[in-house]
Order: sequence, then structure tokens, then C-alpha cells
Amino acid sequence: MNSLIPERIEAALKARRSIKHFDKECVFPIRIFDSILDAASSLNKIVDISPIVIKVAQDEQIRRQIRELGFDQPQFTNASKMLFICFNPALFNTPNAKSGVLTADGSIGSEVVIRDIAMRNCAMLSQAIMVSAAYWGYDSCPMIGFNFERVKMLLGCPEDWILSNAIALGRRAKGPMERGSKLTLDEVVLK
Amino acid sequence: MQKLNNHSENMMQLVSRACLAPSSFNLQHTRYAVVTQADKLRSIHQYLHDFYLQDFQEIDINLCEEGLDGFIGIFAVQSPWEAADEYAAHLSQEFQETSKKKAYMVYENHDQVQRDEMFRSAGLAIQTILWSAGQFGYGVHLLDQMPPALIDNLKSQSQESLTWVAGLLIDHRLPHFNVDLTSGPMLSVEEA
Repeated sequence: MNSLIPERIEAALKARRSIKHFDKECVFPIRIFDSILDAASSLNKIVDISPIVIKVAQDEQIRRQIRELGFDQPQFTNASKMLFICFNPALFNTPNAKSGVLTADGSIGSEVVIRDIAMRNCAMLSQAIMVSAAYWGYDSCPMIGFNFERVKMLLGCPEDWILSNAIALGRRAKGPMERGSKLTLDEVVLK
Repeated sequence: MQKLNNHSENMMQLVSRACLAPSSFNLQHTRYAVVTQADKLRSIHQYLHDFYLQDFQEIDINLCEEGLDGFIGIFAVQSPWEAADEYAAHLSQEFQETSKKKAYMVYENHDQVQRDEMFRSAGLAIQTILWSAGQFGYGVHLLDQMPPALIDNLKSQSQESLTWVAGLLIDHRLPHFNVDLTSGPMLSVEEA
């Protein structure tokens, strides 16, 4: 698989918007899904992706149940694919985080550091997937509005796994909300 | 490929792109400490050299000695969820009110949920930088840990309560994200 063309990445970054309403009839091509996962796998050069497990909710009944556990958000049943990004702490091998010898700001224990890193790395993977999807002309939505523990049970995740977030993939039936209320660079860049 | 002759401008472009990343309720938790001045990059190198020689994580110190193109420290602020309506000010009054109500439902008295979102939002922003860095001809090395003194130095002028997330060493000699896609392990995918 070839890498994505760098010059088209900027357009994909701008095209990626959080979509609420998906076309239920859209069938996500397997080759595109494989390309998206290939591109996302490149993240392994930056962080260890081996603890990350993507649970793909295929079963319609499970997806309806998840929608009930997720404020009735339509993406759960109408998106072409629903991915749940999980982290298996047993496969996390960074010795410093496991031992707790050193923490990010010197004040937090090792268990918290692992959870922090799990959230960060799963989100990195999520953005890799969503931007790659936009590159191929598909839409996405990152989602956290659901009962995490009950969804974990529905998906058959072991109790000690950390569920970071879900991603809806497909094609939009309605456009996104207007982009706006952004902080300025002066507000987000430290002096 | 963009030109590499103005690292300072390019680093700000990377941050500008990172601001396109999504965040819960558009709360934009991520803050960036951008370093491009040669003397500051040298002092970062010195910190890293002292720190990593006696610790656990491997890093190409020689790269630092030759001079990095740039460094971006990633921080997150505690979720400003109480003001969620202000982050939807460009939308209808009804939407703003709904947004604020939902933000209270999600975050009020849920400290872990707030902390999780800080790291998730920052992760989304970091990945956006990774995507963009390749276009500018840069590779990125992510550091989980940094010496506390360096972290304090990076955030010393800020009035906000900042939580450290990661350090990004940015240099054209580092491995690029999004190349040679067949070289790494595949993601673990399971159906449910």
C-alpha cells in the first residue's frame, strides 16, 4: 500500500468534519476500509499501537442497543461502520509508566499515566482513521456520548480494557454544523 | 512539499492545522509551547541529554546535538465545560443552551471524564500535527516524559492550569508518519 499523497492531506484535514446524520444505505468498500487501517497503522512509528484494539460493531441488534445507551444518537445505527477504540493495558510495555518511577508532571501514579496515554494514543489513532477516511471521500464522527461500561460489556471487552471513544464512518446524509468559535493562535500558543 | 527554510513559520502552521482537530463541545483543550530559537532548542537538548542518559527511554541524542528544526510542547487545560455555550457562540441560541446543558451532564462532578477528554483532545491535535508535518517535510518523535524543570520552563508564563501531555521533537531527519505503510504491524481489529 502506498502512502497518502502529502499535498492532499491538507484538504482532507479541512474536509474532515463531525457528521451526525449518515446515509444508512451507504456500503463502506472493504478496500477503502483496509486502506484507512493501513494508513492508521503508520502511527506505530510514533507510539506503540499494539495495545490498541478496534472493535467493529457489525450486529444490528448490538448497534440498536448501543444507540439506547448513547442518548439515541443516530450515528450508532445509521453509519456504515461503527468502530470502538479500545486499549488493553496488559499489552502496554512502556516501563516508566508501568513502574511509576517517573510521571508526566511528578505528581500522578502509574495507573493514571497509563490511562492518560491510552486516551491520547487512541485519540491519535482515531484522528489518523478519520483524516484518512476524509482523504478517500468518506465522513466520520468521533463519539464519547454513551455509557462506556455497558457498551464495553455489549462488545465483549474484558473488564480491564480501557474504552476511549467510538468513531462513526460512512457518507453524510446531512452536512455538518458551521465551523466557528475557534480560539485564536494567540490564545492557544504559550508565550 | 513545503519549503523547510522557515521553521518558525512552519511550526506555527502546524499549530494552526492542529486547531482543525475536533474536541468535545468544541472546548479546544489543547495548548502549544512552540520552540524554534536555536538557543532554546539547545537548552532543550541539554535537558533531554541529562534526563535520558540516566533513564529508560531511548532517543537519538546526536540528532539533538546537531540541532532540531523545532519543538512543540503539548499541554491540555482542564475542560472549560461550564462555558460550553460560549464555544458554540456562532450557532443558534437554542443550540448554545442545549450544548451547555449537555456539557453539565457529561462533565459536572466527573473529574475522570474531564481528564480523559483533555488527553483525547490533545491526542486528536497531535495526530493532526503528524499528518501535516509530513507535508512540510518533517518527521516527529513523541516523548511521553520530559524533565519537570523543562515542563515548568515551557509553561512558566501561562496563567492557565496546564497539564503536560507530550513533547514533539520535529525535524526533517526523523522518520515521517504516513510513509512505507507496509513496514509496521497491522492494527488489531475484532468484530462484535
